[in-house]
Amino acid sequence: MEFETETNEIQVGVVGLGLMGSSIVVALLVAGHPVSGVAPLPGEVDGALQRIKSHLRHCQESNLLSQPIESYLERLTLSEDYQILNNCRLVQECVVEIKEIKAEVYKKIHEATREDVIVSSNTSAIPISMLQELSPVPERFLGIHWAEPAYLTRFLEITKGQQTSDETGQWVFQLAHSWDKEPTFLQKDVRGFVTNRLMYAVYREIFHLIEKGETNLEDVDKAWRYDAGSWMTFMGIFRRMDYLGLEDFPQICRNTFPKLNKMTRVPEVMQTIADERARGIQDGKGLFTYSGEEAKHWEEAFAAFNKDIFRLAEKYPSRPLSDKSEIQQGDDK
Amino acid sequence: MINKNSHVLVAGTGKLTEGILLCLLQAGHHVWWLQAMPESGLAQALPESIMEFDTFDPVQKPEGISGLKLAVAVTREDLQQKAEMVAFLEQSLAPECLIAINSESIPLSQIQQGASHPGRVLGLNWAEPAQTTFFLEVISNSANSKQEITDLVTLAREGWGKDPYVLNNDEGIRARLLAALVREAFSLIENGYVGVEDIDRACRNDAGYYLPFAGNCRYMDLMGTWAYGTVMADLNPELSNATHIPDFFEQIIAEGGKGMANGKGFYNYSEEDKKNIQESFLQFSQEIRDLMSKYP
Repeated sequence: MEFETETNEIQVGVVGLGLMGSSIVVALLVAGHPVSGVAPLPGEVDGALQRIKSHLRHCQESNLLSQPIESYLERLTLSEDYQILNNCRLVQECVVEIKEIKAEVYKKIHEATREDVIVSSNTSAIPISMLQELSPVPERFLGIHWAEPAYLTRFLEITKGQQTSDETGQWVFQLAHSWDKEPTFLQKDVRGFVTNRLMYAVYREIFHLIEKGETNLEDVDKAWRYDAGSWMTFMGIFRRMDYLGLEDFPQICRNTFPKLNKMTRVPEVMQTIADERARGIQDGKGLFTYSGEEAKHWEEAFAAFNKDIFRLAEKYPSRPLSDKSEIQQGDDK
Repeated sequence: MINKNSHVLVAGTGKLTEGILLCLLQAGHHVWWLQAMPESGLAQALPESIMEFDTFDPVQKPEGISGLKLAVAVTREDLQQKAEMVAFLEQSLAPECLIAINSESIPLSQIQQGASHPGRVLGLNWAEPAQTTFFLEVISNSANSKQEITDLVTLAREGWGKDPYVLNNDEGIRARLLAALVREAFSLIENGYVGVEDIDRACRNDAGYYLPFAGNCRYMDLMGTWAYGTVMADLNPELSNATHIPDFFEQIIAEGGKGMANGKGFYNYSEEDKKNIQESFLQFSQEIRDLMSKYP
């Protein structure tokens, strides 16, 4: 069996085979890797295998597979025994967000596998710099954060901690390109993911404008959906500015930045929702309210949309520019 | 009352203006195109898709066009240019003709100042490509007639393929939302966390997958709302509050970077890159409009 990339030479491991872990296993299999999956919890293997098979069928329906499903399964080993990681170059940890448990997992990984292994965490709660102190080899530890479903989205955030070596970061960043991802590469830890910070900055301004009575939920949603939603699948904010022409932006920034909100608290309406644990379409109470039927309608529409947008986004992958040498970067980079 | 049969004057140049021309022509208006201000020189070549409309007429001056109900103007983000545009149009237009001018960050009242009929001047912002996007931001204040604003919104909704929203308080909100995003992105780059490309990937590969369906408020409800409140408690104190433009952007501007137009911006573009991106984006814009029309 031939895979087109060299990924078939690189054994990778996943520890933790819950929903996310299974999804990541499939992403790595589809990318061509032989994959070793470790279930740290007893009895997890069978359920994981069913999920993995089901995801692979989903991949097949989405035309992501170049081989029959069986060929991918042949390259998969699942076990409760860490020894199956013995030849892995990269092991992705995907277990519960409890530091003590993660520390134990890192120790077992290093005991079981080769000396030059790189270990990555899918954490979305604990800073990488803090987590890597729990690893026996912090310089070969970093964050690789996936979005669900991992085998379908282009999303990936790679985060270096304070002690992560440049070689480790670069090796993973290069490898991730052969996974058909468009990784965001964080040179150092920051609270929240890049994508979250960008969107929460927008949320903060949204609630400020609503609290001031400048606008309302419906209109602010129209503004953002019809502007950003009309191009963001195709390009990011900087490409968009280049596309529109940069000339007016310094003036717009100078006029607008000083007016932007600096709120450090939670907006009132969101505080109430958080206190009540209101779950939007799941219980009918959110920023908007929903009858049972309305909630169902939104849920179905969003599910149908998700299929449509994946299909559309796939038609517009990022294409490299002819001259990549002079891309503008921040000062410290 | 303004309606589909009304003649419309459009003043401005560039991609955005071309989109507006197409939007209004497709809506069935007779459109008169005034190429910006008289001193800005010869008319640019317009795409064939605009020229081929029988209802399209380029003009050098806005004089002598009878029955105009609306003038749509596009200028740079510069108060003086906007004020001059309004003054120039007012010389020739009947007092009942509305003047709808773009403004991202300049309050409408400042543009109205000096106008003979301030109440006829309103803010109107589009999203490029204006011939396919649903976006339309209408900015008004107490000087405007509520009825005239309502009539314009009805026309835009029923005739122009737009789903407009109105601000009554002198300023728009689109620029604020974009600026909030840009400010945080600038800060992450300036502080060495990521580069320009990383920000763009983060945009495309997360929000790019849901924003065509819903704005952020609806999206929170789809995802289960309350957890966002708890994340805000952690994140809001850490988000950028910067008011300055970072050096790396100042430098691009100082070196004459205009973005894709001259190939120098946050990225560098060859002529071929530019052509590829523009063609591909135009096709995408039609497809995303079709997709968005399927959902509430």
